[in-house]
Amino acid sequence: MTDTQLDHDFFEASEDDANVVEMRKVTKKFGDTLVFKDVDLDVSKSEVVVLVGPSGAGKSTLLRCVNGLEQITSGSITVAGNELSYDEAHLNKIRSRVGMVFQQFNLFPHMRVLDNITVAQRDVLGRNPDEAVEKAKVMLEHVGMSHKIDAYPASLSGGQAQRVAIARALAMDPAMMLFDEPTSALDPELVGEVLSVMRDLANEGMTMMCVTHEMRFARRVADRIILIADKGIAEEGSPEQLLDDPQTDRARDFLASLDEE
Amino acid sequence: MHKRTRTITSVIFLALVSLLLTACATGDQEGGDEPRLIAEGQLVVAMSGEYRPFSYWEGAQLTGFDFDIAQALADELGLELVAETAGFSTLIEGTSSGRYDMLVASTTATAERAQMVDFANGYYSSGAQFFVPSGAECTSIHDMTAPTVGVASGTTYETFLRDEGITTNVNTYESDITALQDAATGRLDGALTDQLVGMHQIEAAGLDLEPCGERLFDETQAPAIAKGNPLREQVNEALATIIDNGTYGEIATKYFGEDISPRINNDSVAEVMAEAEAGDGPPGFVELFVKYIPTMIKAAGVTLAITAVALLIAVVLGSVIAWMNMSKITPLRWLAVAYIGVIRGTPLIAQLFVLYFGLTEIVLLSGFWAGAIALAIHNSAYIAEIIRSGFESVPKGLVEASRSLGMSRTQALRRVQLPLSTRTILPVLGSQFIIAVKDSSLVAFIGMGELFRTAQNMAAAEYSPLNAYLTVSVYYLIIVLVLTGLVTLLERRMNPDKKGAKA
Repeated sequence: MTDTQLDHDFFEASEDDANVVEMRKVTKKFGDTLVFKDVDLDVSKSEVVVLVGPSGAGKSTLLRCVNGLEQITSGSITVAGNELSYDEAHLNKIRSRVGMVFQQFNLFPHMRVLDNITVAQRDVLGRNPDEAVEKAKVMLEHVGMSHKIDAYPASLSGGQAQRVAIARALAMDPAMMLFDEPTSALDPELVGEVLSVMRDLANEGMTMMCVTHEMRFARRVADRIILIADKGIAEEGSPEQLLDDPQTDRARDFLASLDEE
Repeated sequence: MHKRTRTITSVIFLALVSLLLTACATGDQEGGDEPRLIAEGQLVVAMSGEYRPFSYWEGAQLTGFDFDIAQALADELGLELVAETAGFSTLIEGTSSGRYDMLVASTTATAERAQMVDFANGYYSSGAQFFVPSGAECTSIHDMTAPTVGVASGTTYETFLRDEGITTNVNTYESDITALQDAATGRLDGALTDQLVGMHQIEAAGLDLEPCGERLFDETQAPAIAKGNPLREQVNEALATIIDNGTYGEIATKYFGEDISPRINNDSVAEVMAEAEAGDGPPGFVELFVKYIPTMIKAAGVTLAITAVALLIAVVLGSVIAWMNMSKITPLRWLAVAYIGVIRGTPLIAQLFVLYFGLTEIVLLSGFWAGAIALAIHNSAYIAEIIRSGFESVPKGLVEASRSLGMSRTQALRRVQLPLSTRTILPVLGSQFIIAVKDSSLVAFIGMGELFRTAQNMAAAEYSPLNAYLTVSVYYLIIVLVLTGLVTLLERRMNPDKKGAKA
C-alpha cells in the first residue's frame, strides 16, 4: 500500500451528492496574464458539459484546473465532495478518479496497449496484475480495441490510439471524465469512431466535461453547452438554447464564426 | 540490419588489409651506384631537436653538434641541408621508409637498428667518463678506494658503479649537471657521467673539473642511411674530409673544448653492421604483432580498467550535474553550467596534467587514479548534457498523462521518464563511451602502461612506429567494435516497440 493509493471511502461522500464538480469564484492567471475570472460552474452527476469558445479563451486551462494539472490563482474547486488542495498525495487521489483524455493521446510509447492500461491500476490503485489485466480487457472490449491488446502505440492509427487512451482512463473507475479536444489531432475520417465511444459513455451515465469544436457532437450529446469567452463564462444553456437561440452578442459572434468555416 | 552489418565488416576488413599492405611495402630498395636522394640537390637530415648540446633549438634556429656536422657534411657533398626534427623513436623508421635521406641524430649504432638502416662511420664516440676536480691526483677510478661519486639518479651509471664493485658511496642527483657542480666544489671525489655531456658542461659552465682515466665503456654514434643507399660511401668520404681539413675540429671545440675525432671508435659500427648482415632482417608486421600479443592484451586490460572506472564515476557525476542543471534552484543551475562550460572548454590532456602534476601538493595521485579521475571529470560534463537532453526529449504530455492517472512524481519518473529518456540517452552514451576508450590513450602521457603507452614503448624498442601503432589500432578497433555491438544489443532489447512500428 502506497500513500497515494486510493482508500475506498475517499469518494463515498459523493455518491448521493448531486454535483460532481463545484467551481466557486475560480480565477486563473499565468503570471500577470488573466485567463479567466470568478468562474462559477457546477457539473452534476451523469451530466455531459461541453465547453466551447474561441481558441485561446482558456477552455483547456479550465478543464486542466479540475484535476489540478493547472493550479488556480484564487477561488475553490470541489471534485466529488473533496476540495482541491495542492498537496501531492491529495492531488494524486483526486486524479486517480478523474479520467483525462488528451488531444495528443499521450499513450506511453514504450508499453504495449495492455501495459498502458494496467500500469496505473497496479501502481496507483494497488490492483493485483490479474485483476488489472481483466479490467483492461473489459475496457478494450468496450472501446472496440481488443484486437490490439499486444500492439505498441506506434502501430496504432490516431483513432485507435485515442480509444485506447479512453480505455486507460476508464480502467481507473473514474467518477468523471475530462476530454481535452479529443478529436482535434485526428484525420477527419477517424473522428467518428472516437465520438461514438464518447457518446456511448455519455449514454451509460458517465459524468463528462469536454472541450471540443465538434458542434454536431455537442448538439447530440451535451446536456449543457458553456461558451467560454472574454475571461469567463459568456453564456450557457442547453444545446437548443445556446445554438439556436443565443442570448448574447458574444454567443452570436461565436456561432457566426463557426458558420464561416 | 544483417546486410548493413556485413557491409561494415567488409569495409573494416578492406581497411585492415590495405594498412597491412602499406606496412609490408616499406621493404628494402637495393641496386644502383648513384646515391638516392629525396629531392635533387638537397640532403634531408633528421635529428631530435631535444638533445642539448647535440641538437636543440635556439629560438627558431636549430643548432647543436649534430646540426653543425650535418651542415658540414652537406656542404662537403655540395648539397643544400634541409634539417628536420621528429621524436627520437620515429627517426629510424623515418629513414628506412624514405622520409629522410640521413640521420645525424646522436644515434648509437646497435645491431637491432642496423637491421633497419645502414650506419656510416661513427662521427663521435662517447661513454661513461669519470670527472674529478682539477689538479686532483687521479689515474683511474679503478685505482681509488671507495671514492664518493656523484651521478644522476636513475642512470645506468649508478648500477654500473655498484655492479663493478668500484664503490658504494654513490650520491644521486636530479641531473648530471648538479652532480658535476657538486664534484667541482670538492665535496665529492668525482662525478660519473657521459663523457661529452660532461665536457660540454665543463666548457659551458666553466666548471673546475677534468677527466680522469679512460672511458669506462664505449658507444659510437653514426649517421644512419636507408639500407643499400650508396649515399653511405659518399658520407664516409665527406666525414673523413672534414675531419682531415679541420672543419670537424672547429665544430667539436665549439661544443666540447677540443677535437674529439681521435676518440672515435669505429670497431663497434663495423661489428653491428656485420651482425645485421648475418641476421634475417627486421621483423615484419605479423611477426611483431604476434610477439606483442601477451604484452598488448595485458595493456588492453589496463585500458579497459581505467576506462571502466572512469566511466562509472563519470555516469554518477554526470547524473548529479544533469540533476543540478535541471534543478529549480538557480545557484545549483549556475554551478552546473559553469562546470560543463569549463570542462568542455578545456583539453583533456591539460586536465590530465593539471590533475597529475598540479594536485600533487594536496594529494599524490597514482597514474591510474589521476588518469581515471581526469577521464571521469572530462566525460562527466558531456554525459551530464546527454542525460539532460535525454530527459528533455520526453514529451511533457506523457508526464501529464501519467500524473493525470494519479501517479506520484516518483512513479511517473520510474515508469515513464526514466525508461523513455534512457532510450534516447543510450545510443549517445554509447558513442561517448567509445570516445572515452580512445581518449584513454592520452593517459600514456603520464606514464600509465595502457595500450597507447605500450605502443610507444613498442615503437621505440622495435624502431618501428608504423608497426607499433598499426598493432595498437587493431586492439582499439576490437574494443570499440565489441562495445558498439553491446550498445546495439542493449538498444534492441530496450526498444521492443520499434519492431512493432515497422511491422
